[in-house]
Amino acid sequence: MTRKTAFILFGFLLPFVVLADFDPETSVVEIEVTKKSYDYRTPWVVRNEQVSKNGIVIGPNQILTTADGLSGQYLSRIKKGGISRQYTADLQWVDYYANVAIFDVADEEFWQGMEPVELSRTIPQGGELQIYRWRGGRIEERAAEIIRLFSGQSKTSYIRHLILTASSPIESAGWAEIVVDGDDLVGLTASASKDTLAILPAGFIAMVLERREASADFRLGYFDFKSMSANNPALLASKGLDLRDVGVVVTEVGGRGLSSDDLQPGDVILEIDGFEIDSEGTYLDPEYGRLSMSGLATRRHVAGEVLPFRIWREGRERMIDYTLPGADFDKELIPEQRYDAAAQYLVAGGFVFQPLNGPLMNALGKNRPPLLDYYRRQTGADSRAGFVVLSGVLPDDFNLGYEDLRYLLVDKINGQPINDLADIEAALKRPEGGFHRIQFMQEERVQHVVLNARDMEGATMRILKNYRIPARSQL
Amino acid sequence: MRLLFSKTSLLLLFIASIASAGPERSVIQITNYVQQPDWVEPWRFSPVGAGVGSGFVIEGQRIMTNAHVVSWSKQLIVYRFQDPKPYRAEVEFIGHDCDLAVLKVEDPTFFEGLPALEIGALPKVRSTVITYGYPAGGRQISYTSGVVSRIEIQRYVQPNNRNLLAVQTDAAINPGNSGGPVVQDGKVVGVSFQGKPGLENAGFFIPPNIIRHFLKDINDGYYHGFPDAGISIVGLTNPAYRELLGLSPDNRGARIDTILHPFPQTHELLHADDVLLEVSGYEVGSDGTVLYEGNRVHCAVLFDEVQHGESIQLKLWREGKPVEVELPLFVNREDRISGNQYEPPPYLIVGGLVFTELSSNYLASLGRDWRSKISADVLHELFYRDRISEADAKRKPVVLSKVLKHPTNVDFAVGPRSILAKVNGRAISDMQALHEALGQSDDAFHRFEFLSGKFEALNRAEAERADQELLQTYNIPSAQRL
Repeated sequence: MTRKTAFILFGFLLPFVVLADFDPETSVVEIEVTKKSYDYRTPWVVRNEQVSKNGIVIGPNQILTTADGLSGQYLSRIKKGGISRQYTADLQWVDYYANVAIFDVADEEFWQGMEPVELSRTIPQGGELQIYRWRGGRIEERAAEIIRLFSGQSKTSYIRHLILTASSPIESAGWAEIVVDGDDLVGLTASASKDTLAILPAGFIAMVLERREASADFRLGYFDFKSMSANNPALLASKGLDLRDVGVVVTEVGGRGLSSDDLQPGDVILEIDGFEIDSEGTYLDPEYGRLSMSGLATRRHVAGEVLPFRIWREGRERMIDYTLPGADFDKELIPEQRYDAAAQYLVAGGFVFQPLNGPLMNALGKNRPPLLDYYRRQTGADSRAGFVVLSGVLPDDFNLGYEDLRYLLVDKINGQPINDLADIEAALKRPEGGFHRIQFMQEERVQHVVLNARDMEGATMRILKNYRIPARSQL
Repeated sequence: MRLLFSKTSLLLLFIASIASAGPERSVIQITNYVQQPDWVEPWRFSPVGAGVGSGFVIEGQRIMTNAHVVSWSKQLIVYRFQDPKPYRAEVEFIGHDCDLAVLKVEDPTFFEGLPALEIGALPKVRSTVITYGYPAGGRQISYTSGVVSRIEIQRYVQPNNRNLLAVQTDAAINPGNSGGPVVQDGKVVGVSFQGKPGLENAGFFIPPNIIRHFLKDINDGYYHGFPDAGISIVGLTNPAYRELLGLSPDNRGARIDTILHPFPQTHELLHADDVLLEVSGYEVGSDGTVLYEGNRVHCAVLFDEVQHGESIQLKLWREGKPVEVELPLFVNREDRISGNQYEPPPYLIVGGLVFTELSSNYLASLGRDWRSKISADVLHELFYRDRISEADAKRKPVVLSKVLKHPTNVDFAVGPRSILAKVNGRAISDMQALHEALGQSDDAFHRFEFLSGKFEALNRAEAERADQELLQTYNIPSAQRL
């Protein structure tokens, strides 16, 4: 492979780096991640897991990979050049919303002979791509045929951004394999389903890295509203809007706990940031053609910026300033994801309490109690900040008669509303007449249980010992 | 002469065979020709099918059988023991909640020579019983014998939202046995009615106390059904809870955890945390059971002995002292949509949008994986109403079951399985409310709001024209059945 060297400015705040033509042997690396994983059905159990994925050198001390599979990592090692030596790597930065992470290797020897690769700013929309990764000490190169570009959901969050899909016979992919178009780094694979790869475009990654360089506090934006198509002329006409095939109707605002009151259910969104929205919820992107409007939240803006919206409300057109909210799992009533955090629980008298969140719901599978799914959708139900479930009972004389209670949503304890485990801790400090009264949500099959407050501490210690649980809580 | 002798001999032989038979002469073979409604397109009915079952003669020249044997009947044919002549029968009373029915036969000769079987007492556990019936696998009567394995409250599959006393036996009870008598010492001690998937050598029959309740209920010419107290009873074995309520740590008393809706009189007379000490004079254990005719069964069995409108005597422990309460019980007619229904569902078509009542039948018609096809909101609307409020318990949510495509609605962006919240600004609590709301539009549009938050609209005039065309296109007899 012929080489040429160039000085290229990578991002307006990133340092000058020397870049060369793409040579996978000097830029693609293997990453072995050792991580802790949590069993949400027995939340005190910590398991060991290993993930193998790929990365690429994009600058001095910068190895780019996806964030997928890094949650809970505590030991990562990187191999280069197909040789067996592994270098300990430090996770410098990870953004699970964007699905982007940067590793560094402290050992200078690692960097010898490594060549950084520039992130392409443009996304090809047709033709063939090449996919690279190390396999058994040799570079594996596979062809991929571009399928389409669209705005879709991130593999690791609810964020919506550009995603390129391609067809390839490569097996077991989706772990940040390097996707190249000639010498241009087009992106990293984010997931794979049969022969279809979802590729995180380099242009999106570059935007994330630039914004992060500009401000460590930056957040990706998210349109915290739902909308429906306005294809039905009668729907627009019933709102006094004498137009066809324009706009979408807002059906829900603030489902993720992020949004302001800028929009209201029933509003018709006609334009966002200067782009006309059609009745399917798409706009005409100057670079990439018709795309879903949901991607506009990350296409050119980040959280905190104001986007002008042209809307139709109550029979007339208005302009509103929509402050783009930042993605934040913690603001959800029932957080969809928890990264780099242990499973939370609290054991009291053998009652195991857990916050209701996405990982717990996923652990319970499709046969979970339907009430959990119902409350997942209840935005701001009763001004709650969250939900806690009694996930099970560790049988003991103390909790006799309650052994079969499981996955019940807790409403109050000793009269105190329960939003999280801290609320339970606080409520248990205020027993009523020597008893703890636990009240479940009104739809639950059991509404009330009572425990003896005087004996609870001793019972908890006995139960923890009996069931070999290392600590009474993990908050 | 020879021919006459031959005919006489045959007649004598036939009478002799009847006379020599035991209870089997009073066991009836039933063929039911059925047609069931479609719950998604409620004007449609299934092709005619046939089902077979059994029954037996009871007092008053009537046949007792299971409700499920004669449900959805278009034509009922009954046969006497070893008699090929078909007789036309009709359902006189049917109790889907207890899976029992009584048939009458127009031709009075049907009952000639068929003695009514006497209803006996609840059989003892481990005693032997014999089933009589016409199960699949042959045309002649079949007998099986087994022991009474246990007696407990069980879910009755016919209503599917009702638990009543049932007797388990290891005597084979197969399809076709349903409705046949279970006999001990010449008396009927049960009506065969269901099995249980996963259990081997286990069949279930309806015991005499349920049969008698049904027969007493229909004495006035109307079947009311089994009343309900509207309470959720839970065990009270935890020492702390007992101490809090001032109860000794013995095994007496079960706690009333929740009072359901719509039971206004129960709300007046009972409180959450009341403890049931006695029901109808029977002492209640801390697990909610009573010693009932030698069997430890849930105290609900005593509530099921009371007729609609009658009262039950309760001894409660309330706020540290015993209290006597006479609680009137009534049939809850508001819970029908959460169980199996046996009336064709209501529907209303507007602009090709087909609306019907949300019900268990509707969900079941979506297929075995119905839960994956509906949102948690829909499930909540149907199955948790009785725990929220009286108004909620009385609601009958309306679901968009189908969109009959037409240029008027082709862009309607809300699909089937969506629950209506409002129409033309009015909250939709049932089909009648929908009907009224559609008459309330004050401009050119019908406006729909769904529980999912979605909005849609139809042009009224176009919708009316569309309905006329669609009724013809799909041979729909009427745009509504309320």
